[in-house]
Amino acid sequence: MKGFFKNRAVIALLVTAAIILAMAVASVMFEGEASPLSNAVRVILTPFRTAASGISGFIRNTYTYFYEVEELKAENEALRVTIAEMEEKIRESEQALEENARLRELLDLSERRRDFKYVMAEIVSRYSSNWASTFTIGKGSMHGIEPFDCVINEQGFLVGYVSEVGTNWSIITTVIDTDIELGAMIARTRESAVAEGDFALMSEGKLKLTYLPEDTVLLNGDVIYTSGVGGVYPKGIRIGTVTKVQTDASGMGNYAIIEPAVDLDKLTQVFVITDFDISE
Amino acid sequence: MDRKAIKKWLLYSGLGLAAMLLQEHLFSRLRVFNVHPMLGGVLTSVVALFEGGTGGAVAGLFMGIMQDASVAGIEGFYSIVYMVCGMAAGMICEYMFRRSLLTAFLWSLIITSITTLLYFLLFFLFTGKAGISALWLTALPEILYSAFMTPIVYFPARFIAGSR
Repeated sequence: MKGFFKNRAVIALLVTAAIILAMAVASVMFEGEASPLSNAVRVILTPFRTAASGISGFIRNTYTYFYEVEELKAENEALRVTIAEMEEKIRESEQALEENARLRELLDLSERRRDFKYVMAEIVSRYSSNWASTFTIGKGSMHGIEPFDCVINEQGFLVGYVSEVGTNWSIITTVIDTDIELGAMIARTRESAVAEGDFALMSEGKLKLTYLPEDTVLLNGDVIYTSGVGGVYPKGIRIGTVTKVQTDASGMGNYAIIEPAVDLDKLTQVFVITDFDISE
Repeated sequence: MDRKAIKKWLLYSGLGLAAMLLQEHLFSRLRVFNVHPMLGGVLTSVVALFEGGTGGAVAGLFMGIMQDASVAGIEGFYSIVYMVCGMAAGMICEYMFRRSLLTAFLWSLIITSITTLLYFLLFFLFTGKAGISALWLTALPEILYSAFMTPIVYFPARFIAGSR
């Protein structure tokens, strides 16, 4: 035992542990910024993760092709119907947009919000811990991504936010993680509330809506959007729909359970909003 | 360090990387009771069993750095806990345990339990992010699922260590 601690390898390990401890303290102080060691490790790991992601995707696709053809046919049929419905909705939206633009012209209103600026990114690894809902994307600071950038899917539904950024990778904390807390708005009533992650609900893939105004009547299916309060998330991004209303532990107030609009398990790519106009 | 030892540790590194990628790309989809196994502690215990205190510490540090690199938050938790656990497990194994799958399973159970319980206490229970129910809803399944994954790491590691 005495000789063990004189061993040079052990001393080197203890020095390394001290450096890591210092970096742990630094990571608490500089939230969102990756330490040089962590950044270096992830820079090296990202190509491996990308390759593994590609291989697992290929295997999954092959499996799907050979064993789920019937299921795919049915799904294809359903998707055709969905596309038709969506095309109809797009036509309606285009008409509404045209009408909206005309009204704005009439009122001499300038555009209130310019287009978002996006960075598209592939998910290279996911669910590295059972205690958080996070995944890693293959783009980072060299692509213009910054900590706390908002992340959406291709339909414009909220996925989460960028919690840590490295050179060619970023960690995304999803909308159901316990670290999530954002201003929300109930579409039907235009009332504000707070959407936040809850550990028990995270395993069910849901989050909760708290700080509801007094006398608020929520209905199942109520759509919840971001309110834009705080300036981190743009206003009007769909978070999800209310599935249940419950009384909190104190028995004094209610909270709602929200099913996210985005299917996190099926996500393969996301869009990071790197710039937007703040409107609260 | 001779050429044979370098080759052995390169193979261990490859096994660690493979375990990490398996955890992220395969086991993340094979969830049981809503959890997937954490192979860092398992690999640390297996290498500690074959290589002793210093080897266990090195393996723990390596797996810890990779695990820390995969999760957002306070960096260094897994590096330090795995390293200390690997060192302790290796030192004890040098004197008290014979190298067998059962011993590896036992140490996987111990190291994963220590890591998971510490993580739960420090980052969830004490911060109020989760209640005590997370102990049996997440921590316990994670510990058991991880420990039962010992054979998939044990046999390649035994091959690398060259001990039968």
